[in-house]
This record gives sequence, C-alpha cells and structure tokens, in this order.
Amino acid sequence: MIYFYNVTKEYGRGSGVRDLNFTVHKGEFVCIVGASGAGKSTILKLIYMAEAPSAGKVVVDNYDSSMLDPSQIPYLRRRVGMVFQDFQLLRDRNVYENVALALRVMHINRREIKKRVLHALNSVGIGHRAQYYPQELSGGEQQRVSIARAIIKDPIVLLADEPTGNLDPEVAREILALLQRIHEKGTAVVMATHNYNLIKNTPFRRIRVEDGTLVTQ
Amino acid sequence: MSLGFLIKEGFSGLTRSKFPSLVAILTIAIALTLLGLSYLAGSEIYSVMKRMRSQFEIEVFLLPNTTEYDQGQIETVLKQTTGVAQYRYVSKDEAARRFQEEFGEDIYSVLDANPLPASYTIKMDPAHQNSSDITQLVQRLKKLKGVDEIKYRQNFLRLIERYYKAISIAGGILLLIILTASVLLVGNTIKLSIFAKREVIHIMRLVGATNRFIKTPFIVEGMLHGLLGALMATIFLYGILLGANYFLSGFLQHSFAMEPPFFGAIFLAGILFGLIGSSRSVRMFLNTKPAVHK
Repeated sequence: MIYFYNVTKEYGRGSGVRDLNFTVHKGEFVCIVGASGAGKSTILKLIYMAEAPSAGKVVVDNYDSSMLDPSQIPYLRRRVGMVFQDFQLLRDRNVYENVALALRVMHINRREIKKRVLHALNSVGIGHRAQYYPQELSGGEQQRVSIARAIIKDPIVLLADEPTGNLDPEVAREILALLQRIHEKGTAVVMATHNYNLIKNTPFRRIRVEDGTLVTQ
Repeated sequence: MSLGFLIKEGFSGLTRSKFPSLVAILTIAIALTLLGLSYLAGSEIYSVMKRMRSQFEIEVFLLPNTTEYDQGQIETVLKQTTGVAQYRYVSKDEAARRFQEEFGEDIYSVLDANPLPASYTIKMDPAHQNSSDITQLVQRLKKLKGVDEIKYRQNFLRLIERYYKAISIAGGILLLIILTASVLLVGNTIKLSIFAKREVIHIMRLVGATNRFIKTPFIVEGMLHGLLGALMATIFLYGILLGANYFLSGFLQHSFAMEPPFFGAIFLAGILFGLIGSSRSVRMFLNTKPAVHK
C-alpha cells in the first residue's frame, strides 16, 4: 500500500533521508522510531507528498511520486489522515467545523457531513465538545479532535507525527490507545515518535531511523 | 455544494478576522477617495481651462466703407481656413446694441452718429488655438480689402500655450503616481490580511482542499473588502463634495456634480482592487512549497 523504493531526500548539509526501502501493508501499524532530526517527519512528508524525493520513488495507493501531477496531491490527501504534534487546528472555528472541513473539501452534502462529524467526534470521545473552540480544550482533547478530522474520511492510512509529543504521559497513553482502536477497525497507522518507552510494549512493527537511514525494520 | 459554502466562507472571513478586514477596507477606502479626489480636481482644472478657451475670440473690425463683396471675400477666407470653429458678423447696429447692454447708455444719445465699426467674431477650435495658426489667419485677413483692425488676447493665448500642456502632463503623471501608490498600498494590505490567514491555507491543503476551493473564499472576501471600501469612499467623497459645494460656492461659478457614473467607477475600481489583490496574494501563498508543517 505504501512503498519506498530507494528513496533519498536531501535538504543540503547532509540532512534528510537516504536510500530508504520499506513497505507498509494494508491495515498495518508501523512505528517509526528515532531521535529528533533523524528523518522521521521527512518520511511522513514523503508519504503525504509535501516533499518529493530527490531520488527514488514513493508509491501510496495509486499515487506514484515519480509521475504525480501536483494537482493530484489534494486527492491523495483525502485518502490519507494526518495528525501532528501541534494538532494543526483552526482556532477561529469550533471543533465541529474543524472536523467538518475534511469533508467539505470533498464536496459532501451537509446532512452527510453532520452525521459523520458527530459519529467521528463520539468515536474519539469528544462529542460533548463539538461547539468548543480549540483553545478552550486541553492538549489531549485537541489531539482527539485532530484524530477525528483525520479518520472522518475513512483514510487508507493514518499518519501520526509525534502525536503525543505535547502531551503528558497519561494522556499520551490514552492517545496511543485511541490510535490502536482505530487500527483494530482496519485502518493502517504510521506513527513517528522519539518516545520509545511509549511503544516498547506494543506489538507493532518498528522502523528505526538514524541520521536519515533505516537501521532496523 | 459548494459555491454557496465557499461564498459563505468568504463572508465569514470578514467576521473571523475583523482587524485585518477593517484595515483592508479602510485602505481601499482611502486609496479610492484619493483617486476620486484627484480625478475630480483634474476634471475641474480641465473644465476651467476648457471654459477659458471657449471664451477666446478674435475680433476683425471692418472699415466703414466695406462692401458686401469685401465681406464675401472675408467670409470665404474664414470658411476655407481650417481651425475656424465658427464666425459671426456683428453689424454696426448690433455693436451699438451691445454697447448699450454693456455700458447702459444709448450711443445715439451721446453722439450723433454710430462710430462703432461692424466686425466679425471668430472662435477657433481648441486644437488650433495657438500662435502660429492664429498669426497665419490674421496675416491672411489683414491683406483683404475692408479689414481695419484685428484684436485678440495675445497674452491669454501665450498663457494657454505655455501652461495647458504642462498642466495636462503634470496632472496625468500625478494621477499615475496616485494610482500606482494606491494599487501597491492596497495590494500589500490584502497580502498582509491573507498572510494572517496562511495557517488556514496550510491546514486546508493538509486536509486535501484543491487550490480552487482555497482560493474562492479569499477572492469573495477580497471583493467584499473592495465593495465596502468603495462604499466608504463614496460616503467620504459625497461628504467632501457637499462641503466643497457649500464652502466654495462663492469662488466657483458652478457646483461639483454628483454623477452616478463617477460613483459607479469608484465601486468598480474597489471591486477590481479586491478581486485582483486577493487572487494575486492567495496565489502567491499557494505557489509556495507544498504544505509542510512546523
């Protein structure tokens, strides 16, 4: 489902990733582990095609980075859910509107949007906060909203870039448990984290990145 | 959907970012007011000069014994000369009537006979109101039998020749400078108001919005800024014109007209400012690297 073929991404001064080869299968949970600056975020950016490889190619579903027209990127992103350490929520819109945005860009009708938003919010345990604004919520709650926005479009994969980076350990475990539940329902998850302790007891495949290269997978 | 949603989003943009919106609207209003005022000042100067030029006349006085044949010769020359817009024969009797109108005294009550000569009053086309054309005409007329004296305001002609072109060019340059400054000012303000929303653009791209989906609300919002700016400029200009008509009525022979096409042009310029400014600015943000976070 996600294929990296000899992928190199250079940013200059030796940063970036080099010669990556790996696959993420349908419904799999993969943790990308490594220190800050090791290249974890770059790998995720290559998957949602915010970056193009300097060499090699990335294939996600039917989208091939070596042949992709930039106008196709929005359609790829509708198949990929994304969660970030800093939540990336719009502060001038309430929780409902933030989550609905992911469907509005897909031109889905209002009734369907309402049904799916409420369902998504309930499934991440934040249904009672629909009318709140992000700044009125705790970090854990904001991350739940961002997860709801990511899963509402039934993505083939959920990409989580340090999703627990801004959260205290207990809330971090809750978020990880939520991602596990989403995975159990059949969605593939690729999570980048520098917090090995958080995932050491999970059964998921780990890809270790050091200085831009894969050490183990 | 989703044009309705996108238009609604454009309207919501006004309330979501009140301060940048207000700054954009005010900037457009000020720019349009300046443009409107410079246009009004320019057209006022132009119409004053036009009025002055329309009053410029050449008077050809005839000798007392001029025959009808001589007059015919004079009229043939006037008809043949390009640049003569119109001419009129003023008989001795009419000259006497004019004298009475101007000085309030019947010339026959002062003198036994009417000493005022008959004459031709000539008006030139504005394009030919220059020394060389007029001197040429005067030279031709002077050679004709029956022509006594030819009078015109030479100083006035020189004044027009010297300043008309200069004022036209200076006015054009000034208008161009104000227009350029307005466009740059409005463009930058809109850019800043969109810069304040770069987060929205970034997040929309992350969730899979197409460029058109992202652009449309910004363009609607930009046009609304322009429309509201134009409305404000119209109010400013209307107030200024009312004030000018009230306070300057003693100095000016006419009042400033509140012409609908002028205000229509202000609205059109406002909407265009908003439309072009916002679409250029949002395109600039969309043309940056693909969406990245952090």
